[in-house]
Amino acid sequence: MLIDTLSRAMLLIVHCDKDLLEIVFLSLRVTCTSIFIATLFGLSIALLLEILQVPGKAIAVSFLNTLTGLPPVVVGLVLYMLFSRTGPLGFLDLLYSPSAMIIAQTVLATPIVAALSHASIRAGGKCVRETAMGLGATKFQALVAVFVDARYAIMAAVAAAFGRVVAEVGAVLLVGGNIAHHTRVMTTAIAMEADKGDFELAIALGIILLSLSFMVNIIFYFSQHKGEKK
Amino acid sequence: MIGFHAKNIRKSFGGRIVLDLDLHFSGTGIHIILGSNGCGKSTLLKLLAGLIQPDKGKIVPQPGQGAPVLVPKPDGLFNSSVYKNVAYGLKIHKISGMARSERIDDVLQAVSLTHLQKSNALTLSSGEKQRLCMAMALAVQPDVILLDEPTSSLDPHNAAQLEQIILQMRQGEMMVILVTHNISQAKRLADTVTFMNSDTQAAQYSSEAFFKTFDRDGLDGYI
Repeated sequence: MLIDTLSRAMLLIVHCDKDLLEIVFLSLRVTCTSIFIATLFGLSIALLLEILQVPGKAIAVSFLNTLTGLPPVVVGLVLYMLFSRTGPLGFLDLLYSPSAMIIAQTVLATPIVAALSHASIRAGGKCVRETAMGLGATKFQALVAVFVDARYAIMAAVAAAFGRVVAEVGAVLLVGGNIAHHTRVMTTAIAMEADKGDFELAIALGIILLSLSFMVNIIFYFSQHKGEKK
Repeated sequence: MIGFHAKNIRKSFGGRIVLDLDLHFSGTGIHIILGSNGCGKSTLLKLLAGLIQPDKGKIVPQPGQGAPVLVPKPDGLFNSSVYKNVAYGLKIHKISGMARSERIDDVLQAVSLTHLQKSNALTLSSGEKQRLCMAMALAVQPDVILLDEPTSSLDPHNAAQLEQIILQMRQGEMMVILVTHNISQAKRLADTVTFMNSDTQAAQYSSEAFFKTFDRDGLDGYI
C-alpha cells in the first residue's frame, strides 16, 4: 500500500498536478515574501543593536534570542485575535488571507534573521571595523564592511529562517484557515489530506517540502562553511 | 616634517585611567614604543590612528600631514581574496583604475604574496596573513604607519621577513610607530625609543642613548 501511494504521489509530481502546483506556488509566494520582509527588518534590528550603545542592550539581545523560539501556534493565536472582526486590527480585513499568513511568518522569521545576523556581526565585527577604520574608513564605511564581511553568516541566518517558516503549520493554519485555492499551503494541505486519509497528495507535498528543506540546508551549510574564519 | 604631539592626552576605560601622557613623535624613521603589559601602548596607537578619542587633550598632527594608517591585525582580515583585501584601503581613498591595480601588484610583490592574490585571506598561514596586513597598509602609501606588535605570533623566519619589510619603510620616507615587547627587535629596528614605565610615565630617547642607558637585564624587569 505504501509503495502504491508513493508511486501515485510521484506521478502527481511528474505530471505537474494543477492543485499540487497551486499549493506549492502559494507556499513559496507566502514564504519568500515573508522572508524578504523579515530580512529587511532583521538586518535593521541587527544594525541597530550593533551601533546603539545604550543601557539595557544586553536585555534587548536576550529578549531577541528568546523570540527565536516563539511557538508558531501562539503567534497564530495572537494574530488571529488581532485580525478577527472584533479585534483591534479587524478593520484591515486580513484574516484568512495570504497577507495574514505572510505577517505571521514574518513575525516568526524576523527574530531568527536578526539574532543570528547580530551574533555573527558581533563575533567578528570589532576586528573588521578596526581594520576598516585603521585604513581610513569612516564609521559608516566600516559598518558596511562589517556587514559585507558577515554576508555568508547572514545568508545562513536567512536560510535558517526560511527552513523554519516553510515547514510551519500552526500560525498559517490559524490566520490563513486552509481555504482551498486561497490560503492552502503545503503544510496545512498535508495536515488536512492526512486527516482525510488521502495520502497521495500529502506525500507528494511532503516530498516537495523535504526537497525544499534539503536545498535550503545545502545553502545553509555552504554559507556557514564559507563564512567560517580559520 | 612629519610628526604628532599627543598633547596631555588622557584615556580611561570603565573609570580606570589607562593613559595620561604628553608625548611628541617627529621625523621619518622607525619609532619604537616599549613598555609592559597594560601600560597603554596599544591605546596610544589607537588614539594616534583616530580609532578612539581621548577623554582629555588632543592629538595634534603636523600641518599638511596625511592621516596615519594602522596596520590591521590578522583577526581583522576580510573574508575575501588577498587582492580584494589590499584593494579595500585604496577604494576608501578613492584610488581606482590602473593606479589601483598597479599599487596592489607592487605591494603584493613587496610582501611576496603575488602568487596568492586569488586565495581567500583567511586561508593563509600566520606569516602570510601578517604580510598581507602590511600590504593593506602600505598600498595606501600613508605618511605615518602604526604597527601593534606585528611579529608577536610569528616564528623567527617570518618575523625576520616582516622586519625586512619594516626596514624598507624607513627608506620610503615614512614615519613608522611600532609597539613591541621584543627588546632585541627594538634594538634592530629603532631610530628612537619611547619607553613607557606606566600609564603616566614615558621617556623618549634616541635608539643609541636608550640602549646605553638601559641594559637588557634592567629592561627585562620592566617588560
